[in-house]
Amino acid sequence: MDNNQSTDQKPSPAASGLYVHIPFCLQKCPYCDFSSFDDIPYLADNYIEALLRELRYYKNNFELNFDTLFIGGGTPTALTEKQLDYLFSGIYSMVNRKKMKEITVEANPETVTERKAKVLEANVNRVSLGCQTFHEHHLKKLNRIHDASAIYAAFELLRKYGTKNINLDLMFGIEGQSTAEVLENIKKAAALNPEHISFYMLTVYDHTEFGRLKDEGLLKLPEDEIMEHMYLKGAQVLEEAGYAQYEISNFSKPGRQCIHNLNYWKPGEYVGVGASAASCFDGSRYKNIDDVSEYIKRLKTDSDPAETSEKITPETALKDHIMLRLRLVAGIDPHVFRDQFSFDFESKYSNIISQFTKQGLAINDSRGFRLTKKGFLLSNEIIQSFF
Amino acid sequence: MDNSYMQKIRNFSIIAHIDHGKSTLADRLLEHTGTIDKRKMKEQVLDSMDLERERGITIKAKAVAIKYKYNGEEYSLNLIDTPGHVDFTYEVSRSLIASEGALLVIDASQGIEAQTMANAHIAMNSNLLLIPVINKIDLPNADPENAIREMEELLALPGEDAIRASAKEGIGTEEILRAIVERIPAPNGDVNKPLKALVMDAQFDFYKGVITFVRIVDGYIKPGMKILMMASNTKWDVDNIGIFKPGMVETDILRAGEVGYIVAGIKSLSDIKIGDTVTDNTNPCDRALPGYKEVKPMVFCGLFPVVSEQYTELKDALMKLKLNDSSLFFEPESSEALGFGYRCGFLGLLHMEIIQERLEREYNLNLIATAPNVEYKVVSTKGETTICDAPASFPDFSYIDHIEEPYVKLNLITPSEFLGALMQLCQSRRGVYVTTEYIMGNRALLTYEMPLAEIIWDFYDKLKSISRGYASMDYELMDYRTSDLKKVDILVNHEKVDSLSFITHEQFAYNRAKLLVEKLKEVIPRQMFVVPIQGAIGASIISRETIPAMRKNVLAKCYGGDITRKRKLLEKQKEGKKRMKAIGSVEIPQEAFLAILKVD
Repeated sequence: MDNNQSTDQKPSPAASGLYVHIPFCLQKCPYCDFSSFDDIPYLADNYIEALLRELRYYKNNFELNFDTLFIGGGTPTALTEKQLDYLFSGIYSMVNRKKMKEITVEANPETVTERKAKVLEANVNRVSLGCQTFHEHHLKKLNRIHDASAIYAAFELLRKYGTKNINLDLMFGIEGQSTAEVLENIKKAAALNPEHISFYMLTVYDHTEFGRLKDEGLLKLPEDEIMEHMYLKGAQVLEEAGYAQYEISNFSKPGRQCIHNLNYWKPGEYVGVGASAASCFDGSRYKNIDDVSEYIKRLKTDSDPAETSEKITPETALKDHIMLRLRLVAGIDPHVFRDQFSFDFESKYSNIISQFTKQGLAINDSRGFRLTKKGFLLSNEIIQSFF
Repeated sequence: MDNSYMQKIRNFSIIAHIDHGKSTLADRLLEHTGTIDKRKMKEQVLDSMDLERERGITIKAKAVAIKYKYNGEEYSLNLIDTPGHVDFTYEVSRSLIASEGALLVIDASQGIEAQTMANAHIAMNSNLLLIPVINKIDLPNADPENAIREMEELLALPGEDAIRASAKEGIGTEEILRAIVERIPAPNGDVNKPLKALVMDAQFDFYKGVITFVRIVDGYIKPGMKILMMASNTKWDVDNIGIFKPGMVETDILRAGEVGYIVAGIKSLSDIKIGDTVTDNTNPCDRALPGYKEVKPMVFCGLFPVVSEQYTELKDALMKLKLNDSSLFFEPESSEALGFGYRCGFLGLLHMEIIQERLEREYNLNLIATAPNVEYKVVSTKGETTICDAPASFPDFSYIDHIEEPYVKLNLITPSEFLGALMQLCQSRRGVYVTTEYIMGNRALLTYEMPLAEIIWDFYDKLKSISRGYASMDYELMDYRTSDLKKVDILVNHEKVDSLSFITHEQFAYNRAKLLVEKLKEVIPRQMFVVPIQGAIGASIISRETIPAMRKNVLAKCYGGDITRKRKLLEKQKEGKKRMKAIGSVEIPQEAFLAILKVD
């Protein structure tokens, strides 16, 4: 890329989301398949500088018009207060904070100190807190470095310093976990009264520590039947507690859905900066290199940090639309679909639609085609049948 | 014409077990006599197909003329190559009777194997002179003395005749060549009698058509002659003739005692019958050579393309293979489960494996092979006999009076420590015990009469695993015997999957049905609904398993960075399903059709 290139008429990408990736954490979790590292904190200063350079490239070449910002990781709050200040002031010097409807940062309980809680309050309006479970033996199993009391302490600090929109991440399907324990977690989380709860099934990826253990037969996850039960029961308890489901793994109080994430599933356009960050705009998808040092090096030399790019063809656009929309409780809107693809979803796929509605895995009515909770659990199967 | 030229001809074969060093020895003989330049030599000249080279076996016999100087005089030594596997016994026998003698190659560390013994017996019955060669004496674990003792005991060959050699190191090569001249008798035909020649083998060449390998017994053959194939009763005009040196070299005449090839405008290998007698159409010999047999397939299976679009390709590939393998048999077959394919017949299990592998490797076909079968004689209540080589072709059992199945005589040679376990194996496969003979060197020859069906069902692998690879086997067809056989059907989601049906003895039916159904439960992935798998004899269900419905296949997280990767993951899952066969609404992986072979 050429940072100095400047055009008279800057194209204005419809991109509404800005994602900033912070690939540092205090201790890598054995199930984590995101790009994050616990052994390179010394790269953080140069890294922030590099990602701000990448953002400047966008600023110089495009008319930026973001309405959400999401700082994810890794653990963004693993950065020092000073680094966080530098990061935020850098970002806000380039993008208009006033237009932002939602600014989220991810945090882990052990990193939320009084001083950081103050920094966050000053710079964001939403915090996503990774707590996973309130049971000490399961926290150990997940190799988390915080205990349950740290979750309460972090939550209290965030509230004390004024964070009004908080998400709690909960995980289910941990080795040895019972459905009762999963429900207990939900109740404890709901008792804190956060605005949003993400309720994830533990997924084991090949190249992670858990992947290795599973291969060696050293990790035994609950049976599929139990996972199904945990999900269905968990979703029910969440809804009873006032958290309405809007996506496979996401629940919120009314009006508190994560706007930034909703844009991914629309599917809308977004810009990602930082190592491994992905962007989607102008009919293409890009993904930056994972390697942090290499990312810094490329930005220093004004070369393109993207590792892969993919032109979105009409075929992939269709697949993406179906794949992403079916993650949403709202499902596929027939009008939006027709506007975008110029054919009728219902008549084209009537066989598939009736197959899944008959099985109770989907609903199809005037609001559109959408999956039931059981359907969500089998969503990969259902989506494939449209491919 | 004078017959004295025959005094300078020696025709010989090499008998050896797979891996005992036949091809290497042949290479050394060619190299030592300058028949072939060492530098130009592709290792193991006689094995031309890669696949054979990989498996260390030779399928097609060829003959190579070797010039060898002995006491100042030049001799023609014709090396007649023989196939090295149990499935090709008949072809071996035709090669052997074309020779006057044979090198009997025995691995100094392994001793005599069942198949070597079987071939040695064929050679002896054809009055061939055997020159024992104890090979691989250079190996650290070689025990030539023991190999010689085994030879004396099992084959009654005098130990002092044995030549110690290492084909790899070139030890004993000269001694072997001298022994060939000194010990093997010259041919004793008469060039003045009417033409009488043995068809040893044939190969198809794209440009020349069929090349027939012959051993001239009496008379001579020249280009332009009209020949008569006595068994098939067909006539052909000889275009050209020649010998292998080892490349094809045209000659003017092939005389009694000589070995060579004939090109006679024959278009298809199916016009040539191995073991047939070639004679002069205008001046025929009085009698054909003895021992001719129709080659008949013994083992059958269905071959189906995984994607139906490959049906035509499969047909073309089979036709091409048949060009050079007249023992391969095939006819169209259609299966409800697997669509259109071919019912194929093979000489034996190895032959079947080779063909399948060549189809997949050389012709890039993705195939499903059904469980192998033998040919049954099904006698109806009205007394009519039908030949059935597939479970699907069996009539309704209520119309069957009885079923006969082929029995073979099975010889096993094994270190005696495995004797008990092997006897148990044979017994468990309905074997009828005949004898045990103990051989010096702590080995035994075990003989059983056994249904061929039991041997093609995973027997060889079992034999090898029980004996840690040391036991060897050989079998020959004996007769057909009446057995209490049942047809077991497999139902997946209440639909009969015809390609999973199998014929088995009544005593195994329940157990095999149970095991197969269990195995299928393991290999068929969960579907979106509950899938029962049942084993049935007629209308009665004899075993049942249930595959529970799939409960989850979901990506818990999918955010901005994941979209391309997750779309590709789903595309891959979808591709995987395309490679499965959909039976009704159930997707069955190829593995399921192989599961039947692993049930015992």
